[in-house]
Amino acid sequence: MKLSVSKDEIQEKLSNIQNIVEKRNTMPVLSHFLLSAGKKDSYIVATDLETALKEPLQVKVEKEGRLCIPARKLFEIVREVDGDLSFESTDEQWLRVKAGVSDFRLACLSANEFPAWPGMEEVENIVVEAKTLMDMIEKTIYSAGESDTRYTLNGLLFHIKPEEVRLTIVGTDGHRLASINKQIEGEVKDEKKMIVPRKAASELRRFLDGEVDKVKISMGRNHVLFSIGDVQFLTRLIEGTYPNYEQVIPVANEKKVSIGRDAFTKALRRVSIMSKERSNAIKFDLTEDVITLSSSSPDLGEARDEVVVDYKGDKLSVGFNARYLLDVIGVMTSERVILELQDPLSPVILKEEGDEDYRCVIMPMRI
Amino acid sequence: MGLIRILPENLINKIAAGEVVERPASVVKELIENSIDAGADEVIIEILHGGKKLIRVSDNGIGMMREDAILAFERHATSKIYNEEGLRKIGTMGFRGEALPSIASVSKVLIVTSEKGSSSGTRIEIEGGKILVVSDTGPSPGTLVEIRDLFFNTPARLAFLKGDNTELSHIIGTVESEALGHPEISFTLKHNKKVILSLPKTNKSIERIHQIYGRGVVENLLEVRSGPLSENNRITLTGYISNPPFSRADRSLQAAFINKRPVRNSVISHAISEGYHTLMMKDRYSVAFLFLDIDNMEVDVNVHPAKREVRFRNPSLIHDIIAKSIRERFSEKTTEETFQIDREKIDLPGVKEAIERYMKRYERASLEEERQIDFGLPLRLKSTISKDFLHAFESYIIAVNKDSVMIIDQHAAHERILYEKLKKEKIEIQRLLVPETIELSKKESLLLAENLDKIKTLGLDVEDFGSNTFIIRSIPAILEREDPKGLLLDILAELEKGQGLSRTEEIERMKTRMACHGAIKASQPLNPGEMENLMEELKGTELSHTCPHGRPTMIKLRLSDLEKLFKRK
Ligand SMILES: Nc1ncnc2c1ncn2[C@@H]1O[C@H](COP(=O)(O)OP(=O)(O)OP(=O)(O)O)[C@@H](O)[C@H]1O
Ligand SMILES: [Mg+2]
Repeated sequence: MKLSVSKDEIQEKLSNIQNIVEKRNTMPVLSHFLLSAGKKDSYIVATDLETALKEPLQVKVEKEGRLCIPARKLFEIVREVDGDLSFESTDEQWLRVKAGVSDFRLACLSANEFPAWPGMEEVENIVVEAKTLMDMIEKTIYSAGESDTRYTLNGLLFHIKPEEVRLTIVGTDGHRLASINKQIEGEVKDEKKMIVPRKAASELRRFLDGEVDKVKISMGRNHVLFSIGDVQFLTRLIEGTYPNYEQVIPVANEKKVSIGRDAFTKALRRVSIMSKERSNAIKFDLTEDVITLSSSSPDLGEARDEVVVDYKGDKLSVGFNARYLLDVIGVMTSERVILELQDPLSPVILKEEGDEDYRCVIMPMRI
Repeated sequence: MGLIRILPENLINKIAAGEVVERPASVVKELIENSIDAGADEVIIEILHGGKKLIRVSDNGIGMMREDAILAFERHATSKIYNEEGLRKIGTMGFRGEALPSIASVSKVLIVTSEKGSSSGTRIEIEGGKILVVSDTGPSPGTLVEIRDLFFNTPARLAFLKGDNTELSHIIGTVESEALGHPEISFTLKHNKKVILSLPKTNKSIERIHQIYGRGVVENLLEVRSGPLSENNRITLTGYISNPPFSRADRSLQAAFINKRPVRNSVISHAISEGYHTLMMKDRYSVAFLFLDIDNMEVDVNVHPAKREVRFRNPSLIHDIIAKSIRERFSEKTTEETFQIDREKIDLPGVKEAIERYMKRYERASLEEERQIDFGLPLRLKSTISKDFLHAFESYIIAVNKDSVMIIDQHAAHERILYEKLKKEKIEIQRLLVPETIELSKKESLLLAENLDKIKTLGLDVEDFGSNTFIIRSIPAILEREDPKGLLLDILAELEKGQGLSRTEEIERMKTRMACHGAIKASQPLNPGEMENLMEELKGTELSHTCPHGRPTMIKLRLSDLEKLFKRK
């Protein structure tokens, strides 16, 4: 194998795979990436056996070849050297890396040791706008569980119903839930419910804000493949049943409150200064046209603040974990947000004003 | 006349009863074991008022003829062994010929039995060890024994008995453990006419475990199996052990059976812990159901009158078999699972070899790891230094101020902080959007059902959904990051231990447990901000020097202490 590559190109492509290549030294080959240099096309592949990424690499190939290269070390080299690089290898064990007068010899593994790209069966395809998918992940991932023993919660649910041309993505950790529903292209024969691991969803984001505007999602039984232009991002799905989220989202909350997002955020931040560590409890007293927020902590003291709102109706007092609210309104972009409440014990919905597609549900706290 | 005299028979029996019959559950155990020895495949146990009023055990075993039934209440009358040779290789549950006379001496007994195949039966009534009536009756399937008013003639022992529910929970425990050893027998337990346990017969012990502990436990079990070792050493081990991190806060779900007899034995408990080695966190216990099949000559059950303890002729052999089987089960598992992932995805040439190479490495790696632990040093735990603190072994925070060095145990300190919050502050409750369902064993269910209101005051709103299933609807807000199921199980373990305590004491103990559950663990990395928070909060607590269990949270070395240590003063 012999080729040359620009520093920017290889640096960018290597930084994309850093979170995928294995840091723990369990299976040595997983800390390597596969470089495949061909006259027609060249690409690199990285995997941790959960997710796999294949991305094209712009190189000038003099001699074709395939090799497993230690990802971390090459990345460090690339960062430190000046100017473009050339790679050369004559056997399957060593790679010679040169840049200007810098010269490295890097121990490598044979390309045959690299795990094969998983085969997928019973695949169905849909297409989504990259920007849309990005937005959908941003708006749900914060509510997914992180290392929950209910392991299905540690992922995002992708739900497509056959009769609709829409995709719903849901995240929940059992305390709060976010669900977003958007238009897609393409249809599915049967209802599809896939649970995409949180880490994979988060990793996927870095490929969604580039120039490519459409993402093809190929859904198999055990895996899902996202094709973003020439980049292929594949992940194994989490097995198991996801909670029935539709049942959790209340449909008839009567008390509807419209709040300026900015003012709401500021008041929440201020009042949570005095809320108890860990529980972040804040009390809401809702009256006509105003919400009074308050918190208290026996050793620290108290806080009180008010936000002007659009609301006509009965009074209501209810407690919340301020962090949950801040998480939600933190990803919202509309000027005003809508709060739909029922009573002090029932779930509350938050929406962006004028948007019915994105719904967040929070369970109140009894304080 | 000298002072020494031979005690009357009845008094001897009463004294023996003190050893064999401690509480209603011991009676239940003896009667069930007699039914098992009689070859029954159906045993029905009916209880009134925790067994204090009535215990009735009926079976469909071989029964007894009239003479035998009378003899059965004589001391040392047994059909199970004839000579010393027999004592050395006991194959039945009973052999002392002591149980029935002992029980009869401290209660009112009715026995109705008829020999299998016979056209008539016998009915005997006994009170305080004296036979009142012996009469003929019609044939009955097997034997029915009724024990009424246990300890009616020994008020001191009667006073010692606990409330109905406590006695019942001991009885449930007894029936469950006998039933685990004998899945081929069906057991029914009724208390005050209500069916508490209904365990149909089965030929698989895992099925019996399922009947008793539910899916929640069975799902997390792995099978272990070993032996027979050789032609002349026919020890076999079969059983089920939990797959970490699935664990319990105590050993209540560890049960061992030797030739189907439930036993407690420290060699076995130790072997289990050793088998798990580092896989179990400190203060967590695995679930294990182990069935040892072993030559009767190899084990002595005649150690304790209630046969709860056994002695092995070769304890270290037993220890090794158990520890090794468990250990191997886990090393096997890792490779198996890795294989699963790989096989599914990979069928390219060269890759198989790569995996094999990897597996060899893995084996070597695990050996090295063990050696590391043998040094007794937590080598893998990092120590880090930040501006204000040294974080030693990811477990201790070391800070220096004007005149002293403070070493803080992060777990104990955090435990103290949480405990005080739970104690002093009103508990805030976070309701769950997606409630958690949990399936428990019958014993746990009863305990929980009885304590729902107490647990609710702690912020755990739990609803009884029937058939041993419960729904957790809320958890205390300061523990909102915790797994609700694990929290509930820990609290249950505490309740179980604290039976008979006052309500306030019980609540205290549950709070202690909750604090422990929610606290930062030892060997958990912390960032400087988290450490600072912890120190800040610890300062604010009242008894900041000890954790709720009484262990120190911090050690303070004054400059003068250091000077003394270095012999400068
Ligand atoms: N349910 C029963 N069915 C048939 N025979 C029984 C039953 N219960 C007791 N017997 C007979 O009565 C005898 C005495 O029972 P007992 O429980 O007192 O002694 P054991 O079982 O021989 O020894 P241990 O004191 O160790 O239990 C037994 O040996 C058995 O022959
Ligand atoms: Mg007996």
